[in-house]
Amino acid sequence: MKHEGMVHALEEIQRLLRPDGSLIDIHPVLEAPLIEAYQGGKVLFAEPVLFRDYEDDRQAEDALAQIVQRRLFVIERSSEFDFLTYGSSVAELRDFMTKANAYDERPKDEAVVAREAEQSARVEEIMQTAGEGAEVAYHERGRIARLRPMRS
Amino acid sequence: MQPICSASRRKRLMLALGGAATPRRCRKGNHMAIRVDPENNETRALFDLADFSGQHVLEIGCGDGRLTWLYAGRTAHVTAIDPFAESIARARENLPRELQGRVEFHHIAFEDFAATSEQSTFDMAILPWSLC
Repeated sequence: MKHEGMVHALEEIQRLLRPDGSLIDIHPVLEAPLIEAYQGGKVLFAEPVLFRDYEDDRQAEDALAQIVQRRLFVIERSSEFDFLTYGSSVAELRDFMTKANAYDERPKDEAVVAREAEQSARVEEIMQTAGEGAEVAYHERGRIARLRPMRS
Repeated sequence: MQPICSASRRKRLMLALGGAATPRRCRKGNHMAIRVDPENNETRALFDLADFSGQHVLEIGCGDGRLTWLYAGRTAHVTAIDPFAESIARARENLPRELQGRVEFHHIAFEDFAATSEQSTFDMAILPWSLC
């Protein structure tokens, strides 16, 4: 159902675009983002995040593939880039994301929550040991693509 | 179900860091130490791929306008939409003076926007981490 909704949205975007227009899509690469800690450009900590729900992204990729296969769009160019969000503490980064875009209401497994808390505690400890100037970052890869609408 | 989301990247980040699922109101000036893509990797990738000169752009799932500010000055006009009222309120509040008249924000879901929009209206559409 959700996949069908995405395909329909892309069909609508194709309709709204002029024939010589373009669609720019930015979405995450389907690989585990990293939690990193830095100080003065030096990496103090880097570990994949323990929980990452890929289902929405997988469906989005499938929807894009489907509209390309149906020749509603053709991919002209694409590339990948690193995307980092920094905070002065894990709590601050988490708080920022929660307040900025609190969105998902899916419950998380208790064991995952506990492991995440343990990972966060390790990051915080490393940062406190490092002292002033240490930062935590959520590091993910993004993919950007330019698609051209096709009209039959 | 909503096929176009608001800033889904942040949703994922929130989940990964074990954040609460219940939205809370943002306190202005509370995030001075947060830095989003200070290396400008996303901006470089965007400008490498897209020429905004004279373009009428539709940004779908604009969130608080973080990406909008980066490219809007190069366009003819930006229509930025998002289904979340708080995001649009923040975007309007933070709209730089020099972009007033060039950028308009709408609190509306994409399917509703599309249903009332004519064919071949825009030169460019942007999905900024929002197809989910």
